[in-house]
Amino acid sequence: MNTRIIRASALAGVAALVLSGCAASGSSDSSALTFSVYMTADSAERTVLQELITAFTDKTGIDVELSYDTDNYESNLKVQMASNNLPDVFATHGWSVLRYSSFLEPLNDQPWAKNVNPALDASMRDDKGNIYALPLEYTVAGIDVNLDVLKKAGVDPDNLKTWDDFDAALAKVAASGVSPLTASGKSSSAGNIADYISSNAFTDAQLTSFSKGTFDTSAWAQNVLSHVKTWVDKGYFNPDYSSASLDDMASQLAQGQAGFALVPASSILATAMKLNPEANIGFIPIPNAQGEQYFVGGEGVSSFGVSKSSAHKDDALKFVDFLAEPENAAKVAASVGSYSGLTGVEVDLGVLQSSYDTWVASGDLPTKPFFDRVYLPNGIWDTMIATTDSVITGQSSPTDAAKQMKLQFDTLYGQAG
Amino acid sequence: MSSTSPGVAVPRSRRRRRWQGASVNVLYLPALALFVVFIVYPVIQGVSIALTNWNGYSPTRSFVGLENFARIFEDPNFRTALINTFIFGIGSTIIQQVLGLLFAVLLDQKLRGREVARAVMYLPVLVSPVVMGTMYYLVFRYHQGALNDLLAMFGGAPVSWLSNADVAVAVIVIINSLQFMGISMIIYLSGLQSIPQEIKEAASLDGASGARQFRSITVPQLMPAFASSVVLNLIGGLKLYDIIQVLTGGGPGYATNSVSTLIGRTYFGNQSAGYAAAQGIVLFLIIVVCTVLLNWWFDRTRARLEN
Repeated sequence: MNTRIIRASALAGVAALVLSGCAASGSSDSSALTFSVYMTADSAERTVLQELITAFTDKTGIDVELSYDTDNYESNLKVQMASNNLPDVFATHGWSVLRYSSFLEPLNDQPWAKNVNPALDASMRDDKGNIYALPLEYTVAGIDVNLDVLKKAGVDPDNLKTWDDFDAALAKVAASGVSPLTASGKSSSAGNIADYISSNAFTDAQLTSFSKGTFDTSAWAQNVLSHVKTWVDKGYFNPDYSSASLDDMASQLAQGQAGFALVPASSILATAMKLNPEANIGFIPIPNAQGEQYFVGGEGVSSFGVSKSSAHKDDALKFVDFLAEPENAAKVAASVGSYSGLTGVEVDLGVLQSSYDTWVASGDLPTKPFFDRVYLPNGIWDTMIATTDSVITGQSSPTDAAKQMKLQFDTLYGQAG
Repeated sequence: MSSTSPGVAVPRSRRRRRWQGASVNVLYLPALALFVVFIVYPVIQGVSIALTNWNGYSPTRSFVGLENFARIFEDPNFRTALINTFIFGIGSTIIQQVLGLLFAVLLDQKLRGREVARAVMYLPVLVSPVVMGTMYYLVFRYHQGALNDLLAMFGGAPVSWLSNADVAVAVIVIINSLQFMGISMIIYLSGLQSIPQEIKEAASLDGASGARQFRSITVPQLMPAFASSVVLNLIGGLKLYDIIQVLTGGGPGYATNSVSTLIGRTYFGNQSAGYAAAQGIVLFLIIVVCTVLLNWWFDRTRARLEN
């Protein structure tokens, strides 16, 4: 064989390998804007966003490439952050300040910034007052209920003020032959349960302790996980918990096979209504030991930031401004069944409207921030899911699960990030 | 008179021979480059990350020395994952060897349709582990799971198979074994076909029974095949990731994690890239030690049997 050909081929191969590994970092050179969203393929939000993208492209001539994911969304973004190759516009899913702010363009000067609901200031503005994402969704989450199931079981959903009231309601639903609670081991719903309970479960002294980096193991076991353990011992969870997905939860709630679900309605509502358009679904406030009902909430999943390193920053800002136009913002918020994070945006909440009117519109009940985002270190969410899951599946006692939480809390506290 | 003096012609021809020799070496350069880019560089990066407290995406990280490695010894989740990893690795390897050898011996006989049977037995190897995991998820899930539907046909109550950690670990071992049993079968089949027929004929003439022939001829002759199959299956089992991720996600709690799934969870879930890298290096060292020990044992056993 001709040695020159061999050498040339080999060197060309090596050069191709080396050069392919030396591609410049940063956003794609393609002229289309990249837009990543936390949603499923068959969600109503996808249809709405696709329509809005088409309208934006027709109006400005700027192409937008939409990508979406749920299970791997966060992992993908972390890899993209590490390689400084974030999408031009992406959903910050509740973490615009705590996780993404150093990678995002401050949006204070955008025309819609003055219309951001002041209730979101605590969760969406940093110490300097900067805002990093457009809040098309303002999450106000309570306990999802199938009102027909509760009626049949003789439960009055308007009077579940304490955990004892709630436990009594669960017992009634169980007695009616329906699974009182639906949760899913294949999603993060176990973490939602812990987050819901913990957000109004501690004294000021205990909250200060968490804030200053001391995890109160016994308080976590007693005030949070003991409720879960009680529900497990009484057989209140859906029997398919371990293999159930978020869609299974939606299905059980929609089909009247479960009474309550402790996840934000926006996670399951679209699927539930698709499976049973006649489902009588609503939500109620979360009880606590003292009868001080509350909601949890803050920045919603559908909040969109612009990458600081975007090669198409001006186009990206134009796109975000377009999404913020009241009629567009209303469509997105309605598609996820949530309030808008912008004032002056009227949203048709469909089946949830009645619950909003009953509980949220008056503003009488507080909306507490998600506990993990305020009092626990960044990165502990996965541990919250796993430890609560281990109590639900009987793998751990509340005390052992709380000890696991403390171990991870201590490790993550103060970690670079 | 020649235009080229002998003193010049000899070095040229030597140079050409040397270049021809060198050109052979050049052939492995692409493979070497791939090895450096995809193995050496990531390992070096992994070690450097393991010595920091990097969260996996932040531009800043601090050097923490061997802190991440020390943490491994105190972490109950790592201990659980390590035990599971050995169960997955050793359990799968044993089942795959037994079934692989059984089917290899069976399909080495002159049976009608054995080519089709071999292809069918090997087919699961070609299926992606993610697809395999999803298929078995549909078998073991509570609602509409095939197994519970079968139970219902016989009047049994449905069982939440995957909420029991011991059952879930056993299910993972069985699925992994069934999927990759075909590799062992092919290795043993090729080993069986390479045993000279004359040896068996001579043994038959000497009155050796089938079992005796298997023990005294087949097994020793298959030692190289044993070594390859066991080492390959063990490494695969110790690195198990996809099936677990799809089937149980490491749950309930942390009970079915392997070290590989725990690494993913630690890196992306807990945002502890430094600690995840340390776990990865420990897993790498465990696999290296197991492979070296196994190869050493097989070499020694083969030498003993040959003597």
